[in-house]
Amino acid sequence: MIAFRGSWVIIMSFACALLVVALPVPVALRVYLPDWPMLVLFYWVLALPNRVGVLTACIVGMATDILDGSPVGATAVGSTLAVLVLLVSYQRVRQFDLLQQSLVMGLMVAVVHLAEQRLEVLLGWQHVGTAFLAPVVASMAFWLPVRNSLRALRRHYEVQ
Amino acid sequence: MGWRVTLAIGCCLLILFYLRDHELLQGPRQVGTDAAAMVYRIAGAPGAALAGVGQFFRSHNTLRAENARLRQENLVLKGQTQKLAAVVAENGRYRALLNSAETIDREVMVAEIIALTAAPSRHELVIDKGSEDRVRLGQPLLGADGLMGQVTRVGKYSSNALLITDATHAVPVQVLRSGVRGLAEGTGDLSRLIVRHVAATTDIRVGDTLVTSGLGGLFPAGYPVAQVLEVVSDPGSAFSQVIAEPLAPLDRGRHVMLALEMNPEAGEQP
Repeated sequence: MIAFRGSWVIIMSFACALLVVALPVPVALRVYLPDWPMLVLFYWVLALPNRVGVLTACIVGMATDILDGSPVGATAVGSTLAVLVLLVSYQRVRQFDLLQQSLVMGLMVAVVHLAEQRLEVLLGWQHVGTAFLAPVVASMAFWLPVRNSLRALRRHYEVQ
Repeated sequence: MGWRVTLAIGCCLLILFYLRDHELLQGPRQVGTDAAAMVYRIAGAPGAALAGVGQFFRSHNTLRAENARLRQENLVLKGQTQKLAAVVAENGRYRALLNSAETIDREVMVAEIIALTAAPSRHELVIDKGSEDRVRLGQPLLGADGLMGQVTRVGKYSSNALLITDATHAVPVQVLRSGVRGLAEGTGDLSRLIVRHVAATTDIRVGDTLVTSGLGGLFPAGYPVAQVLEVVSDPGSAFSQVIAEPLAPLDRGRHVMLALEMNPEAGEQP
């Protein structure tokens, strides 16, 4: 069995993503922000699918639920499903060029938020319009910088 | 991988549908609320520190001007309070004449807003008072000019409050001028409330103030909520819609008030 190295880098990257989510941003600018924790999660799944899988996805999803006040578990179901799709197809997604990759990431973020929104509606919450899909476009735009900085981190600290 | 997926999704659905309000998860829920508040506090710390530095370097003149303004405001408010005492006494006498119960006096507690939660489609505040400070679920949240929302999750040292403009929120209101009742629903827009299903012949005009009606028992009666901006009536339909703007500044300010019910034993009026 290969020894896992650099777990703290992975944990710290998730902690930072959650902190960035909690930054005080004016309400008008919020729709232009990506879903940071999900992008970080998807990066680690693509990079280290043997380490970061559905259980991590579930935990990260629950953490975002607790942080943004959604019913706990709603985002977690979405992130688990999205990561499941990525785990099945990571070898192919790794070969994609950046445009294709960011499209896939946008789709995955959409899966997360659609599942979350559907579950919340089931629980009697109300959603107006398609505002819940706002992070999809921003996540596609921010995939490149997120991927590059996390890759630099991973190589520097030799996380494997 | 199969059993992990089943486990993860099974756990989530169990928590979502069966354990959401269960007392089994009361403790973890409180810890979660407090942990989230802590994260918001850390994320907001640099901004708050910067604001603090700005405060420190404010000029003497600005402070003097502000001081003078506050003195004036204080004087005016003191005058109004005297009048209020007289009005309350008079009101008590009228109520006695009408054989109706004395309304409960409410104290207020001031809480600081830590953050607005991150979900763009939801309007929720994190405040720095929790069950240790006698915050309860459903407690009304008041701004300087009117009702802001209600407490929806209580941690030990912090809690979350849903704003009246959230799409899932509704508050029973009454037109101050005519006494017409309605239900002001949130729209997901911080500056809009909507009152649906108002009979087209109802006496509501632009500029009317909507106050809480006290129906439903959650909000105390008589707190200002919103001002009517527009009455949309279609001659063909039996109902018109009323668009109103919340009076409390929901996206500004650092402090809110929580209405506390006075302890029945302690607060017996002679």
